[in-house]
Amino acid sequence: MNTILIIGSGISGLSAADFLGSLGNNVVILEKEGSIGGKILSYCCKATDSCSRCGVCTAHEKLADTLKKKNVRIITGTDIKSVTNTGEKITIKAERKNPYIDQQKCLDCGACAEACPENCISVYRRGDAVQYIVDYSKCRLHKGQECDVCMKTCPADAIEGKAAVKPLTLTGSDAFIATGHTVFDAAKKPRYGYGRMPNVITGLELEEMLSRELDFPEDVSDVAFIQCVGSRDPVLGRNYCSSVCCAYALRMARVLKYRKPDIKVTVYYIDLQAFDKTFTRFKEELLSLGVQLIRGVPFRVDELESGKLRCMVEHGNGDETIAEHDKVVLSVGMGPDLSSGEVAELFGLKQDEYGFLSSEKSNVYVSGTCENPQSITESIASAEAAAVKIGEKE
Amino acid sequence: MNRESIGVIICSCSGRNLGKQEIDSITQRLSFAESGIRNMIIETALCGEDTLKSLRNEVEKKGISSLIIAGCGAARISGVTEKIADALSFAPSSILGVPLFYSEGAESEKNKLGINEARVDKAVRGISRGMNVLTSQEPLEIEEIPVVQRALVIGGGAAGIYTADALNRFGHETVLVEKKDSLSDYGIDEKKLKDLEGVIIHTGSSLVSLEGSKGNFSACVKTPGGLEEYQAGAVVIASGAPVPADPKKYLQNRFGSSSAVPLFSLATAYSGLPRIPSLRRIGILLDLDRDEGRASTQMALHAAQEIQKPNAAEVFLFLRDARVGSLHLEELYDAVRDMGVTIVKYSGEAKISSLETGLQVTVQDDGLGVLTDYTCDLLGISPFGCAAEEDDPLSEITGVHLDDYGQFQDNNIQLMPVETNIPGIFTAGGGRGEVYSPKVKQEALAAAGEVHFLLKNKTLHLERSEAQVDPDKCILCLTCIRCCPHGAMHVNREDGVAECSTAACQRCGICAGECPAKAISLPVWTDEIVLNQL
Repeated sequence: MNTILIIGSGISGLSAADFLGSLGNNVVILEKEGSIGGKILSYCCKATDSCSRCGVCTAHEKLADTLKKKNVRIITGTDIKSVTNTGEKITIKAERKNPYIDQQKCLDCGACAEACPENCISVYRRGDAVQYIVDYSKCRLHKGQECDVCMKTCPADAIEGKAAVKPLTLTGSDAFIATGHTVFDAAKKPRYGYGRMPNVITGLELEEMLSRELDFPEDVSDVAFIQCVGSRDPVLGRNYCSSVCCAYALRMARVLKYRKPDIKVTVYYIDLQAFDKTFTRFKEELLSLGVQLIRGVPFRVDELESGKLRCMVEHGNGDETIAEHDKVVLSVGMGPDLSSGEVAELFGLKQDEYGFLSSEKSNVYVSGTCENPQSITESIASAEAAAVKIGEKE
Repeated sequence: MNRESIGVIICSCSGRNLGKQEIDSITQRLSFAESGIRNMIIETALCGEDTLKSLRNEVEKKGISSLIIAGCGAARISGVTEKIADALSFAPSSILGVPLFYSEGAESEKNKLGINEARVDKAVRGISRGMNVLTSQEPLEIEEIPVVQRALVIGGGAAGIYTADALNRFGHETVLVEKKDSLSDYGIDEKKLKDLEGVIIHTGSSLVSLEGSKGNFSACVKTPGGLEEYQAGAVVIASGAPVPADPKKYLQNRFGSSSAVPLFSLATAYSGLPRIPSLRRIGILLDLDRDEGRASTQMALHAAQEIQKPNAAEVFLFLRDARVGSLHLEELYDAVRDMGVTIVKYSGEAKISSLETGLQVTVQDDGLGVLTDYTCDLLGISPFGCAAEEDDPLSEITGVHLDDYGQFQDNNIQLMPVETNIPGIFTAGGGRGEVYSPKVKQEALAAAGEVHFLLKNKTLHLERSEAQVDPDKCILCLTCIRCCPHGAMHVNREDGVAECSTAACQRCGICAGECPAKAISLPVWTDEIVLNQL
């Protein structure tokens, strides 16, 4: 059976691994970060009393399913150093950070987290998806000290960690690139005051806030979303629609209204993208809940002395809408991952003018948000489609 | 199952997690509990190979036939229960993992020495509940169902062709059924048609009936040469966008004027043709009955570009929002606007009235905030914006649910992208809603992948946990057949009672709840088990 090397363990990489593993291939996933699952794990479920079909939960299931597969190996904390591709065989030389926790051997006893003298091991737990995550920045090994407490404590021998890094050589027949995206850095649009004004946050920060706690801060009674931050913006060299921001902003607007019915929610947009099978119904529901949808994005956000944030929108007929909000959420768009250039060079991939990847090689496949901005379900479909092409070859 | 034959293993990993006193306390409390627990085994390292050997001896000695494993999360997540089942040759369902999450209760150091009551409580509760589940559960039979090695694809548009092609490459016998007289190459960027060699193609044909379930469907296809019967392991519905049978007539009925045409034909009519002098103002209207997405926007932009390029006519594009959510669509949008196409973003409803020489479109211009009339000699309308005339008969034939808009597949995240409410039936492409053209191929391949996954095993091994019909109570009122969302219930004609298919049943319990004669029960979730779980 072939060995397939998957780069990236986000929803796209996991979907491909799940599919290829089920067909009986050996799969190795190389993940740069210390945890499996990618960005999607920090997103919130956007259901109220009904599901809004955001797809975040599918990631937890995919993670749990993949961890159970014996022919799928997941290596976290990996830096790829070199790649050689003969067309038949791909050899990857990489360096793995230690301590390395083999999540498939892990018994979830919690001993390592308890024993770590620097408290740098944390647990991620959603249903059957359980993983132990090492914060390398706090780990003694990475400060040049010696430590093997976690390794010795583990009853299942799931932790490796003598030296700080371990060189690895991996070979496979095909490579599957699913390195994902990086969101736009909102500080690059200084007019919106991100980083200067504490109440201006990004959509991602709101995701994390909503997934962490059920209660929205008491004193916040008026929230505005500004769409297309870092998207559809030729000045920033990002003249494309990121396609998912309307989806997450409107779904979170619904969640906010549900959790705190008297909250005022405004969405400033250029064009609302239809993201759901039955989008018109969804939009009607939002309007009936009292969410204000205003065409036009504010030029700037001003912080008033009262701490409120003022947004002004000028309309086509010369009218103005001026409103003051407690919190402004910037719907930052997807861009190519910061590592895209490096990945493109290593695997000989093509990069478009924005930096998104595509492959012209017969044994290297690209899927998910490193290919173009796309939603969770689209990422799953694109991963399965690419995986099918690998499956067909046999 | 009786309590005597159930063993309980408490794993205490070298004593690190549960202290001796705590284990004693758990043992004591459990042995006082109702009927008691006879077989308590305390292990210190359940995951080791040596332990498995000694465990096997002990299980044989005590005559234990099912086990509760109370331990760390490994009891549930790391395949430990499967490993033990394997080593003891037990059926997987006779071993129950009860995760105790020792670490949760072990936050404060001082508790390590004494007894952490919360932790003990949790363990006792978990184990008692496990006992209740095992005692009220009978082991399930395993049914082996052969999988028919053939796939049926409905629809010969881009989605159907890509699906059939991929299945063909996987080596599965594939039957493609297309309503029209030829396959359509719209949206296909490669010369795929000749690659379909080996696929059985029926054009001018339609599916008239589909029975059976996952792994074993039987279909009847009406072809020009008569009826053909096919057995198939899986079905893919790729019936495409809901285009009316006669678009001209449909638009005539709808708008009282033949000046409205489908967007498809508008784009093709103009490419490479000289200008048509009588048509000076051409409108393209999106979002008519419901909001459209990227596929319609792309089609509209291409059409506008084709007409505007030779300056054949003045073009107006009416839309609620520019749905440009894909790479390079924004650039196309900018290009079309810069060419001089008038783009009107409207809010609310668009009104269309018939004039002597064309149509009048009345919209609330969202930018200017005023109601504006536009007269057009010809108006292009996309099928995705129109409400379906009537439900697709395929839905009735296959039992696949439609969403609120009459499109295939419920709007349910667990089914997306390509699954449906009926196991073994998948859907791809425009029939399940508007799909942006580059994504059609992806969906088709994903559907082919799911079918391959089902067909690659020659048999399905299924636990007989489907709904059970008591033949003495069943009065064949057909309620269950009507209400089953998964198409699992059917009539057993020999006995004259309702029957449930093992492969299709999803154990939702709706039939059991709805049956007026109370003739249906679910073997795994009896009332007793549910009460025990509470």
